[in-house]
Amino acid sequence: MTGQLELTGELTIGMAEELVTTLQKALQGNPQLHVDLTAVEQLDTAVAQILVATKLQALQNAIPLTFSCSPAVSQRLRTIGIKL
Amino acid sequence: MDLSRFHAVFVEEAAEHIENLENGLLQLEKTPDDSELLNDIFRSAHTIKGSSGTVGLPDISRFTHVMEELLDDLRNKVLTLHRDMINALLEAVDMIKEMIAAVGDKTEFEFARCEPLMERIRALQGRQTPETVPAQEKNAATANGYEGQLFLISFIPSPDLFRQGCDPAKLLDELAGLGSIESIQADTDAVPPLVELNPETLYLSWQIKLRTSLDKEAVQDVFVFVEDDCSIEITPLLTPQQEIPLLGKLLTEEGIVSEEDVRKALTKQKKLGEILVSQGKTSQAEISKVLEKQGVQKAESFKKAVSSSIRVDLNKLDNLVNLVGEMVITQSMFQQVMAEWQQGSANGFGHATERTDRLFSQLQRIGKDIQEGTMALRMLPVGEVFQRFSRLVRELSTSKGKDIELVISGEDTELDKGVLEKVTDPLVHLIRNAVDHGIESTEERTAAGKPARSTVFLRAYQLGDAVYIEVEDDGRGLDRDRIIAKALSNGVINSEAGLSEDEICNLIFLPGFSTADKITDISGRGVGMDVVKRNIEALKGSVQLRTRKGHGTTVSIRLPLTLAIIDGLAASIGDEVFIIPIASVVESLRPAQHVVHTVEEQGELVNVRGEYIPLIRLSRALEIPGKQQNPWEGIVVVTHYQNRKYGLMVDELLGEQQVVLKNLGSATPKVQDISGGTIMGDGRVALVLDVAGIVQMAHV
Repeated sequence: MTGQLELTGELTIGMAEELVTTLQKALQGNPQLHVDLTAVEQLDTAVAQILVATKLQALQNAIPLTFSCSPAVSQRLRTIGIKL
Repeated sequence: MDLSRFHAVFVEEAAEHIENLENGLLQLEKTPDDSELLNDIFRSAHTIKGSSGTVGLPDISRFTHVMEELLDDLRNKVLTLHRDMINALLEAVDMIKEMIAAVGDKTEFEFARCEPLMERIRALQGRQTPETVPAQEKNAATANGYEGQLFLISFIPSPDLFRQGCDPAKLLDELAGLGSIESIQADTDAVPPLVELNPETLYLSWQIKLRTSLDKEAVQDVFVFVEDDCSIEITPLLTPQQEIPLLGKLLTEEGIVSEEDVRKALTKQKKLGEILVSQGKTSQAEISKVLEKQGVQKAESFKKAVSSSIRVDLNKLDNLVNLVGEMVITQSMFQQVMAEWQQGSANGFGHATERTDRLFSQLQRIGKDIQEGTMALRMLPVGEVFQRFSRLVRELSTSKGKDIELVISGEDTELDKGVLEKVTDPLVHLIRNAVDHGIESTEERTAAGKPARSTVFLRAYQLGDAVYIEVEDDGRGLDRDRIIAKALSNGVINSEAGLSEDEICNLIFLPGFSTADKITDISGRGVGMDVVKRNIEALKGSVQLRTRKGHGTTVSIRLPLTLAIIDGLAASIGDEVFIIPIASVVESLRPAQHVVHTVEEQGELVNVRGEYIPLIRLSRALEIPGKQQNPWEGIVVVTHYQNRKYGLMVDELLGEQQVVLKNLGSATPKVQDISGGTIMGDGRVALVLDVAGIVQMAHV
């Protein structure tokens, strides 16, 4: 069964620690994970970096990980040259 | 990060560089070989470019870049300085002023307006490139066009960037603002898996391909705040693309015209005004008028944008902080004495009194120093305003076909900021007058055996508690006979008998007086000297004129050092105390009963040594019950306003004293006869009278 994690609002470095914990838990508890970012209004480089690290972690743990992004998120990822 | 909060700082900082640019360019015209000066100008332009880029104003950055390129070519001696270049660069300075004013006003500036000037500056750069330059090289030289140069940027930020409060996304956004990002690739190899990740460490680095019309330095400038601990490499990639508009490109591709033709045609592009003139739609004069008007608006808008704050010499501020420190120490010493006193210290009463005395005089001294130091904060060197006049004189002399040099001295003389701002317009007027009327035409000068080049002196100096500003020209001087004739025909005087030379000259300060036979667009509309005089008097200053026929005219403005502290004469009316500014007091006296005359329906007059002076009873004018009903029981303070004397009747004189003039605040409506309030030594509030207002209200 695919775990769902929905993140909302403005994701910035201020909540980075919290986000790391949330994502770690989500990765541990699910055989596969979908992170829903469609309700995220803003995202900064620090958070984008966390997403990159999450992807890497999922790869190591052999957990299939997918993302769905809001236009704001896609735009930001594109402008900082990150592909998830 | 919202960059617009830095705009105010940018506007202020840019104002200084713009001034530097403008003055530098004017100076450069006189000494074109001064490479140090050229460097200085270049640096100013470069700073404006850089800082506008960093605070998110790419338009200003783009525009300044074109200027900077021309300056760079001059600096590297690729080009030789030409008057056209100075003109174009000065126009560019005006354009930047306008753009910055728009930033200050938070309004939009249409960048398209810069394009013609940018074209012109680029054309100036290209024009003197010898035709023999190989085509390949030329391509490279013009490659910085709109299509732009491609840069490969490698950005390896410091791992601590997040901790420094910086999000690299902002830098990347800014980079995108410089042109178009062709590709961007974040290197994620260094990012560890989530369990090992420290979310506050930056592991990413970037490779960016940016196409921009700006140069490498402009790109570098984006990273100015982070470059110390980040690794940034910017490599230009070769793309010999030329800046040619679409139509030109299509025509070239179709083989209809050659590239060379297009480029030539571009350099020939005329200004809109010139096109309209050549089509007979308007005249050059009308265009100049409109442009001049626009220029004034621009200048005012710019002034407004920068005048709400003040730059203070750090030494002045340090000095003040030191004084405050001393004050705090003295206060705590006071406290200690008081405590000892209360405890009935063994040292005895006498000792404590002595110490209190000493501390008090110390406090008094500090208080006085703080007062002076604070006042000094408002003082600005007049040079800031004077420098603007070099430009004015240059433009006026060009348009009049006269060869005029402006010699400035005493730029370091300081004046209250408020006074300085208000004195600018009168000075502009005086200088225009000097250039237009004072200085003869070159032929006239040669005929009179004077050097063809004329000089206008603008000097400032401090003498006692006043600052003097003088505008002197070595022109024809005032024509005494013409002034008299004009005054007689205007009915200003009835006969010239009894008028001294000086008095005759000062007739031109009367309203509606202009001796210029023909009205020019510069000055001579008859609204001139009277306005100057009124403005200066509003600043509690005075204007004097000296002239020698054939040798020139000097107009001397005397201004009080500051508006905030005035010498006043304290007088009482009923239970109230009023301050009359000493500057407008001639004398005070108690008239004998027989010298006070009542004229039917005209009010009262006092005969002071044969001179009849209108009497204004302040108790009536201000509508407060006075103690004295008769002038011979009270005191008449004789004041002067606009060359006439008026007697103000008060109950009693309390003495002369310095008062700090305070605004009545915005809650009180503008009262014509009161210029402000002050707090007296005994804590009472006294109003400061405005003599001009009282005279006008009393209708005498």
